[in-house]
Amino acid sequence: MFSKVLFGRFVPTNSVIHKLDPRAKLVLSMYFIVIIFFANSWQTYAWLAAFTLGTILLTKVPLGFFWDGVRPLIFIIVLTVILQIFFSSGGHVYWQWGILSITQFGLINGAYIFCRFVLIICMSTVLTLTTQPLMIADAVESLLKPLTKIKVPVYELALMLSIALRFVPTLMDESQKIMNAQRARGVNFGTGSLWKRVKSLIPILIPLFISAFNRAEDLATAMEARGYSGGEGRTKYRLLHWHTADSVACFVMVAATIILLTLRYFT
Amino acid sequence: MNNIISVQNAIFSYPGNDIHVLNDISFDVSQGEWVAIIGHNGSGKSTLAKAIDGLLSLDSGQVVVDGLELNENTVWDVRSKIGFVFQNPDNQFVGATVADDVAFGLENRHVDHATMVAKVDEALKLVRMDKYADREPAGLSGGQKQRVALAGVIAMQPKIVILDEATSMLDPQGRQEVIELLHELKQRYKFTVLTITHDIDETALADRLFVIDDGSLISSGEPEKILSDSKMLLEKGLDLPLGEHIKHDLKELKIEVPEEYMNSSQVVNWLCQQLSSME
Amino acid sequence: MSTIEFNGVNFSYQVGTPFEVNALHDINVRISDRSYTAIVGHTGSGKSTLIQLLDGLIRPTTGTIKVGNETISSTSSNSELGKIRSKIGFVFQFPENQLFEETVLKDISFGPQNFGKSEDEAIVLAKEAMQLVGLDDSLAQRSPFELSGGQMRRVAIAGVLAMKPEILILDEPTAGLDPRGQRETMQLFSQLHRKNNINVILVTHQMEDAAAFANQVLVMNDGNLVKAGSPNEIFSNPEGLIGNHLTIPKTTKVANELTKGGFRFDPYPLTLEELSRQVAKQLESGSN
Ligand SMILES: Nc1ncnc2c1ncn2[C@@H]1O[C@H](COP(=O)(O)OP(=O)(O)OP(=O)(O)O)[C@@H](O)[C@H]1O
Ligand SMILES: Nc1ncnc2c1ncn2[C@@H]1O[C@H](COP(=O)(O)OP(=O)(O)OP(=O)(O)O)[C@@H](O)[C@H]1O
Ligand SMILES: [Mg+2]
Ligand SMILES: [Mg+2]
Repeated sequence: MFSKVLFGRFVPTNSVIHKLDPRAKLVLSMYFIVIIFFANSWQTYAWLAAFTLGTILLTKVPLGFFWDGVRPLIFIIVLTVILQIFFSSGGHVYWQWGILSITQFGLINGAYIFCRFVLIICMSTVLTLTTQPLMIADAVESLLKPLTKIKVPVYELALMLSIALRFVPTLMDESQKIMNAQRARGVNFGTGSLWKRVKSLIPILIPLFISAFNRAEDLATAMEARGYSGGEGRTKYRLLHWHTADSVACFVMVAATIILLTLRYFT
Repeated sequence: MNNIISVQNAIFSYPGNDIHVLNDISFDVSQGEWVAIIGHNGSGKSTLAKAIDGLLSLDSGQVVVDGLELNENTVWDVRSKIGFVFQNPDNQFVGATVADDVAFGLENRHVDHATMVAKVDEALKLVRMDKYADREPAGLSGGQKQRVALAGVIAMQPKIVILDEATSMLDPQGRQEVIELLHELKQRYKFTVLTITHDIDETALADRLFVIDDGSLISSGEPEKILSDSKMLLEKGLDLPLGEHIKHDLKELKIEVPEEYMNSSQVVNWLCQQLSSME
Repeated sequence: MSTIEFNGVNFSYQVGTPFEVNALHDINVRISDRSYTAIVGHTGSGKSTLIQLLDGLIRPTTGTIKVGNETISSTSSNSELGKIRSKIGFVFQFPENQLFEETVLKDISFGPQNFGKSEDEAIVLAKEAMQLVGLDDSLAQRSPFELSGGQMRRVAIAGVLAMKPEILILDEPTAGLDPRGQRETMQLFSQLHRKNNINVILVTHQMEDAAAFANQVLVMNDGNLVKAGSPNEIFSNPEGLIGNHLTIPKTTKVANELTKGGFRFDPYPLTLEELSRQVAKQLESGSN
């Protein structure tokens, strides 16, 4: 309940983006992050921003959720932008003090870095808002499948990932319960000196660790009882299907790249 | 009737501890039987159940399941005959969604995709959880999670179903749901059932009752016989079933009561007869 | 003095998000000093929320809760809540999950030390608490994780009792114990209530326990407090229980059947022992 809001933040609006194959979404969003680095002028950034906005609108997810994705990182973004502004040189100098200066290029670079950050965050938020964590795990497994040839335990890793995802809410609930129990025994979190605060975590972490360990043992027993003996030869209940829409999405992305490169080299 | 489970002279202790958690236990269970196992906390009930499923290996003694002697080579075949439901609903939910969880055992047995989808569907309908197929476990009640666990068992069509306190963490309604469902499924599939429970009234419905105390099987027989032995039950830290409890209390108050086992409605009838015969 | 009063209490989880859940609606109730109150209700009816409010673990969205002279409201500060918590002992479900110290004694004295007792004082209190719950002295220096499930449960309960609470809140304290463990635990709380004058608040799904031990029963349904009354009033009315998704205590079931067969009960029996006593009396007086 409580945990769902924090984690994954999958918002089921059932849009065209939701229905895409998770492999397509995963690969395309990573690809998009790479091509952002080809942008070098206001025209190219404007084009990528328009493209991202279009995608966001297609998801039918309220814009507020994207802002929620940016907000926790705002500090890092602002810091990077400021450093960029103060430490790059070139062009007209507006202000100078020792090695610090505000220059024309500094401002432009700062603006570009800012755009880059926001675009990357928005596109990855599109992925997490429209794809269940489980589906992302499936996509990773499917994409890494060739690695089984060189003895990488892809199935086992994928199962571990999906179990980890499945237990996140359970462990969040558990830590809430343990925290309450210790608060009832007089522990005061988040007050006093740093040392005191760190010490107040011990009564949470030890029980949480023990409970996680017990759960893991129970789970291993249950899996064994249900015939799990390693990933070899296991069939899969959940299959991924590549539809025309996924091919179309890839095509759109290629077209977007061509426009980007045209803007970069011919304007 | 042939024996589907046979345990001979089972002895087991956990590593680093000399105490025999299973102390020379022997018994047979015949095909289609319903056996309930009771005993105090730490008496070795869960250990026994795990030994039957090959989840731990005995120090000495023998387990035979459906004609197969349990050893390293047969353990996976033995497990494929047994469906196991554990106590904590959260710690046995492997899949990320209800349907995935039911499919887990089928995936392990290399069942092909089309068959798997059909079996998952059917099993979820049987436990009345088909509407929840795509839900994540975080939003389900304990009773619903245990019903999903039962669906996972049913999908495998086991010959034996073992429930280790499968209802003890549920509220009364969830408990009722799971017990009723189990009876329904047993009727339909005729599997053999072992239930471990602390709820004495639940055991009255079994064909046979085992009492485990400190690693030994101290008593086994029809519930009527064992449940009327109130002295033994109280000595071993167990409860009296409702009817016997009333009889026991009346006896303490110097009222003469019949010796044989009576369930609560038999006790009520008997008392009402006594009352009317006096008037 | 530790009378408890809920005045117009509402509570919602995750206020202001799309995931808001209104868990309690307009709760008004008085729990008098030194009483034994049982709270019953179906899963998700709000029982745990109610007792967490009482212990100041969460703040009401609107309304106030008075515990003795202190008041909890939406604006209470952490230190005010801390003061209330020092009077209240809270035994959570599966309390053995909160153990963390190296030794049993250290774990039990953890609570008192947090509430300002010196280490020596806390150890004295811890030893008293161990005796109270029937833990042998020889266990004091053992690791709590080497104990059996039943013993761990006792250590956890002792850790709460060592704080010398005026009010003891219990959230399904017997879940997972064997019948003897259940009996002994319930008897311990009943004894604390009678001998040490502790105000006990018990959340339970076991109607038999509510009927046998409480002198006031609160019935919750979907975030509403639908009934408050003596066990007699609550449990002699099976329709009322079923209407609120509750089970009928076994004793009530048997008593009702016996009434149909000609037996008369007064007062209405809440335990099997009491039922048997009245049955025996009627059988004897009939034969004389
Ligand atoms: N993994 C383990 N390692 C060491 N000792 C164990 C382990 N599991 C159980 N034991 C011990 O073995 C004994 C029997 O445990 P078991 O879990 O079989 O009891 P049980 O009858 O199922 O009890 P309960 O009613 O509490 O479930 C207990 O004394 C317990 O402490
Ligand atoms: N942390 C939380 N976030 C959101 N909703 C919650 C949270 N905790 C409880 N709820 C919801 O509040 C309502 C009341 O829950 P509460 O835990 O008080 O019920 P309960 O009566 O204690 O149930 P149970 O018998 O299962 O313990 C339920 O609908 C529950 O889903
Ligand atoms: Mg057990
Ligand atoms: Mg609760």
